[in-house]
Amino acid sequence: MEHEFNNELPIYLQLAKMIENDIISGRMNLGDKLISVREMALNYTVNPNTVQRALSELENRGLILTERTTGKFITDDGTVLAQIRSQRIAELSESYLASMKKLGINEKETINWLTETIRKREEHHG
Amino acid sequence: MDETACIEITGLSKKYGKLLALNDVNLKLSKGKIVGLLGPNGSGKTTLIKILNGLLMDYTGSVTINGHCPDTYTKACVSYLPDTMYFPDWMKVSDAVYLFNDMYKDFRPDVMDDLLDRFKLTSKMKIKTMSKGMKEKFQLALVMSRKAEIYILDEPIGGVDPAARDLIIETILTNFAPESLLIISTHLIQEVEKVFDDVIFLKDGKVVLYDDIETLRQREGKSIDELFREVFKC
Amino acid sequence: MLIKTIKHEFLATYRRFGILYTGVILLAILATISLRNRVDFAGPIIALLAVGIIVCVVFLYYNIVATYEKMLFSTQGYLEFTLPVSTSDLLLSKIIVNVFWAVCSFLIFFVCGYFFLYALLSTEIFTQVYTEIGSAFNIAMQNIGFSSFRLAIEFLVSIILFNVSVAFCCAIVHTKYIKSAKKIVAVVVYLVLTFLVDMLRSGIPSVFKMSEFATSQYFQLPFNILIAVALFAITYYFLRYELEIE
Repeated sequence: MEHEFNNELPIYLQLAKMIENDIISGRMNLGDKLISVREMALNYTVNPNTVQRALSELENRGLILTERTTGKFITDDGTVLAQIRSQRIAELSESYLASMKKLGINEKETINWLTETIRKREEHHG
Repeated sequence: MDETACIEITGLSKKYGKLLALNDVNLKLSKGKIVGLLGPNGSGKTTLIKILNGLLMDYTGSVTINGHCPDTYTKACVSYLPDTMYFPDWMKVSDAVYLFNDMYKDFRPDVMDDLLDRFKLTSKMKIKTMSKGMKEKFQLALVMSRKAEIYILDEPIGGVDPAARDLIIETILTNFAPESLLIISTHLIQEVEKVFDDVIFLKDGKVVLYDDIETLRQREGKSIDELFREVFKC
Repeated sequence: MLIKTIKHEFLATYRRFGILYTGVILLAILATISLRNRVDFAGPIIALLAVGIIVCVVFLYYNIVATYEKMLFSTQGYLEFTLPVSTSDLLLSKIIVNVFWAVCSFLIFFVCGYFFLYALLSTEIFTQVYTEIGSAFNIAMQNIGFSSFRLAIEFLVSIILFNVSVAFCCAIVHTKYIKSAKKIVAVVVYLVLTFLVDMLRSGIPSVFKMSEFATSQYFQLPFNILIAVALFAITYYFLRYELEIE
């Protein structure tokens, strides 16, 4: 757990992204209660304030809610989640396309390559 | 965030003969933060730490801890882990624990027992027969068992093998009281930097940098370890 | 806090003294038994006992020096000066415990002497001789103007004076005034200090043309106490405001 962070970028942003991924992918469910800041800090071996910051960041994006008496929860608003999910997918796709373009591969070829890669993967795992 | 400054240092200078070990240091450190005190040998780190702990009483400028100059009161507030082994030869683990428990009101015996277990140390062990790594862990256990307002750790993972370093960092994170100030001085920056809130770079007795670590990372686009090497290359 | 500090200082030292005293007492008993029975190896045992007593005396003074040497010259100082104990309590506790051991040592010698006399004489003569020696000693002392009580006080003050002198020397080299060769300077300071104090001790009475008797009766003790208090105060000042631990 401890070595997942890149010291060159703000850790709280990296942590926020990790948690966001967990929520988007469904590893953490809508409406779930989050473990305490302190516990999270220990799990990732980071400063509790860093965790706090990451959670605040997610709160600003609407992914996390703080109930004053009960703690922090993942939002149960599906639309927020869907929005962020599509946002992230769009980002990743753009980034992928840009990388392929740098290699000189056009869009049609990109789709072929992608389909081919998925086919090979299914063979491998099948 | 709690911004009460619990350590205030103004115009602090310390001269050793002709050598200026600390040169007009100004710092305000607040509670609830983990601060990295970084600098090469001879940067004035040790001098600063000694002054905070009342081991160096002659200096110019003002140093206050919770409003007091370093004295008996501040010693009760500060839990200090020095870079060296400071127990007399005759002591066993139980003797040292007894001493700490007796002298410090904020000592937590249950935490101590837990840490002794975690570090695989027993009450009957003689301190002088322990390996270097065991001694370091033992001193750390004593220091973290106190529910102090300020912790000053001088090279907490210095003499420990890499496998035990994670355990030590975890121990520090688990046991420091959240409202307290934790100052860690180390040269193993890479391993500890993800734990810092703020960092202070000390060079030739002067504070050349004092900033929030994430702001630094964002601004410089590099790790604190890399930044350190840049700032301090000869 | 002073009581606690004294307690811990005692815990740090009792083992060594305990072993030493036990050894000496056992030797004394052995010597007594062997003398009584006119055994051949009585001689060597008595010699051993004498060595044991000398070791006790030496160790007593060595321990006093070690107390302050450890506090200021070794990493143990990091512990002692970061404990939440006031400087005066720190100093006082060490002086008090060292005085305690000096008293114990004196009592041990007394006990050994007792055993010794018991061994040399038969029981009836022993009791007689012992009381006679005792009263003769007291009468003699009274004639010269001493009392055993006064002697005891003077002995205690001399131990206290030795304590603060050593503490002073160790403390002064850990201030900004002395920058290097600290151990050597400490020894030099001690010699100079002792010399100066001795000069004053003999000088002042002669200035006031005091007789030998008056000097020993009225001057010595108050003078020693005054010097001890002065040295304590200066040492306290150095440790409280000018301390520089390596």
